[in-house]
Amino acid sequence: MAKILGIDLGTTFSAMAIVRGGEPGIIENKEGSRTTPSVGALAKNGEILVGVQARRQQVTNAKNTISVAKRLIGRRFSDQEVQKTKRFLSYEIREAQDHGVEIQMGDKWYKPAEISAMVLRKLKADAEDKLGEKIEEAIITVPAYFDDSQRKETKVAGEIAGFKVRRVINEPTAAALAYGLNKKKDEKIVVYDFGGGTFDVSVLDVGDNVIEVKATGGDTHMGGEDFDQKIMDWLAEQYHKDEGIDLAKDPLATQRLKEAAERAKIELSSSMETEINLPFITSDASGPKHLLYKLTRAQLENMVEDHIGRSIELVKQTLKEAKLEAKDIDEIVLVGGQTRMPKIQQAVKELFGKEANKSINPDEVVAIGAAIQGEILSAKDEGRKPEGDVKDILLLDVTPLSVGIETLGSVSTILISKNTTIPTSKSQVFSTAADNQTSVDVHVVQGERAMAQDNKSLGRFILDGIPPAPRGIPQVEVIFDIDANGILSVTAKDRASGKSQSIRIEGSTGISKEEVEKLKREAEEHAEEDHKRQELVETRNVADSLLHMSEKSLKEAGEKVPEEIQKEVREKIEALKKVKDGDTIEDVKRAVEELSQASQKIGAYLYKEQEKSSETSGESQEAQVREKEEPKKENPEEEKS
Amino acid sequence: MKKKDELEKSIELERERDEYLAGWKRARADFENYKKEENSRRRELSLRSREEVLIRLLPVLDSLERALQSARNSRGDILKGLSQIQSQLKEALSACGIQEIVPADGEEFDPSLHEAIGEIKVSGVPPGMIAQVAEKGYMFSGNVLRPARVLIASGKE
Repeated sequence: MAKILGIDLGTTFSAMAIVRGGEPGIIENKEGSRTTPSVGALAKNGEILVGVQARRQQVTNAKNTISVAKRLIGRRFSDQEVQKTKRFLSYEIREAQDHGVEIQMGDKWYKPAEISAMVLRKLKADAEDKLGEKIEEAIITVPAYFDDSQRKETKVAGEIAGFKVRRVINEPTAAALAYGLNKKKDEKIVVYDFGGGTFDVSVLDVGDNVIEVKATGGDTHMGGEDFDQKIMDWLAEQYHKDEGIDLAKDPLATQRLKEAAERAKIELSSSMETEINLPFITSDASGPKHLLYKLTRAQLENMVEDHIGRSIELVKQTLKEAKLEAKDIDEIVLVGGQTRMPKIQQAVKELFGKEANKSINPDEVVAIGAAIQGEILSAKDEGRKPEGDVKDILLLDVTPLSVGIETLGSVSTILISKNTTIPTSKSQVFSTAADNQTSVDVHVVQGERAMAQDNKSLGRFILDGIPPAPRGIPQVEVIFDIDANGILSVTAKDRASGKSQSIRIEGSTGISKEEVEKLKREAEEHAEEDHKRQELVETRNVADSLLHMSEKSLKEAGEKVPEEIQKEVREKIEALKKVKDGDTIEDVKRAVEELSQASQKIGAYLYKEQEKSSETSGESQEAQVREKEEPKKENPEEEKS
Repeated sequence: MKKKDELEKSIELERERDEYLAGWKRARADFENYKKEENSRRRELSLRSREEVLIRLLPVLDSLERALQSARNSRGDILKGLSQIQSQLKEALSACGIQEIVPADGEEFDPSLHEAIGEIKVSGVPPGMIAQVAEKGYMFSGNVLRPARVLIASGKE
């Protein structure tokens, strides 16, 4: 079964993915990273380096370290973009005979496609290594605005790397595929891609399994790295103001600033404030100097306000080109690590008035989409259904809400928790709550709330004929089974008598979407109060069983125990009974603790007595040991405490 | 008569098909649920393994706080205390399995272990070789956590 590798060949980073077991997944490179820098280099010792290793030697070998080849591929040397890029390059480029671009590395001149091929070759080798099989074919993604020549050259790069390039597809199309949006009918999609070095926006039109690009826009020289730079500039400026030292002159300090800036940016996506702490950043005549600043999310948002505003302007422009308005857009897809920034998500939401698709890692979503395209093609080759679709035939649903039964104190005890894939079954053994209880009431409930009465009641039945026994002794097995159609069968079976009862509840998963949402929302809203109530009930249950056992051992021990111990236990029992049904959990806990200590005295006294009698009788060591074990069995409350 | 046989046979086959499909679905669902459980187990495992490292780091933080306290109170032998904290931290990290990458000056640059952060002119080190280590690197279980940051001897230009 030939697999087709999906490759996102990016300007700064590349990623690869493949569909396995019906699910697309990123393949890590040999270094264990999920993305690989799109950099190639000719090291000073003549070795070709690719990825992170090439990047590590960039400063000492800048002339022979080639990055951003994607900005040059398939373009004419006279192209404006090439001329603009040329200013930032640390390596030489020249016009080739065919008016394209040539890059110098060592003594030789290479085509941009040959550099991209180095990256692709590494990805191929690493993927083969990880998967343990040959990978011959690939899908490579390119920006939607790439013209014919750029696409052709990208394909050539793949071929040089040893791939049979099955398709060159658009990055936004791949992103839409990753979210399964190709299955929609007549929808308009906007893909907002804020990468490390570029910003792209595309408007797509989906109809009948075909995704068409309606318009593209963006800025090829604006990206997340500009955000890092803003933070770095701010840090350096502050430091210069406070300490009078220019950190930009020190390469190690610059490197540390750069890393700290990126880390701060990432942290501010999840927290409101971060600390940039770089001790011993530099030194002057007075000794070592340290850097310590706080940066808030609001400060960062201010710094990059213009960039975000510009990206939104570009989206509007592109919409206009597609002759659409923001309200016409059905789906928005976020791509690129920078879209994790809450401010960006908010700006996009404000523009379109709806949430964007962002559940798939935005650094990986394009490669994932390419892998899905690959699976569709290889399935077609082999005359089978794509693996993801096979699962569609199986139609494996999940339970939207938990199902369980009501147990002592009206607590809802979950047997099958929400999001469990069905068909499935689970069983648990329960017991009786009272002595000589001959029947149990099985109440089936659905929902996330802690107390049974707050959840939806699905049905109830009674299992009777349980042979009389002390509480806790009978074993009643409750089995929940949800079949593929969502039909829940609940069976309760008494293990001693073998008697069983069951109930069938149709449509336990067919609960309406609104109802599911309502129940989930309620569960969240009441989480804390539910937790408290549950704790109270559980404490009461402990109190009940302790009361029961204390009364029992008091009765059994009878006259054997001195009156004062009996009296104390009796008092504590009364005290616990008084507070047990109150709402103050602390009171109940304290009374439980006191009774537990008092009733232990019964066991302890009996134990001592027994020891005394065995000592006087002078029995063998062995017999003593055997006897020592006995009181424990007779007084289970001893074990409890 | 034959038709009846065929009908019976097809009913039988249909029953079998439903049975197999149900079995397949159940196996598939079991696998899905297993994956979900495995994921949560893995999350748990990752937390536990982080715990082990954190526990080892806590005494270092304690010592550092003591050192700072004593620096505020008096002028004791802070330097000695600090160097002890350093060895304490090193021990904690090496107990977790970390290894240092410290190339010697003049050693050959290896981008799988080292990262060049700049070039300097020095005498006695051939151009292209490591002239100075700016920051040590670290390895853990065969993976480079962070390459050693080095300055490379530049050629005489």
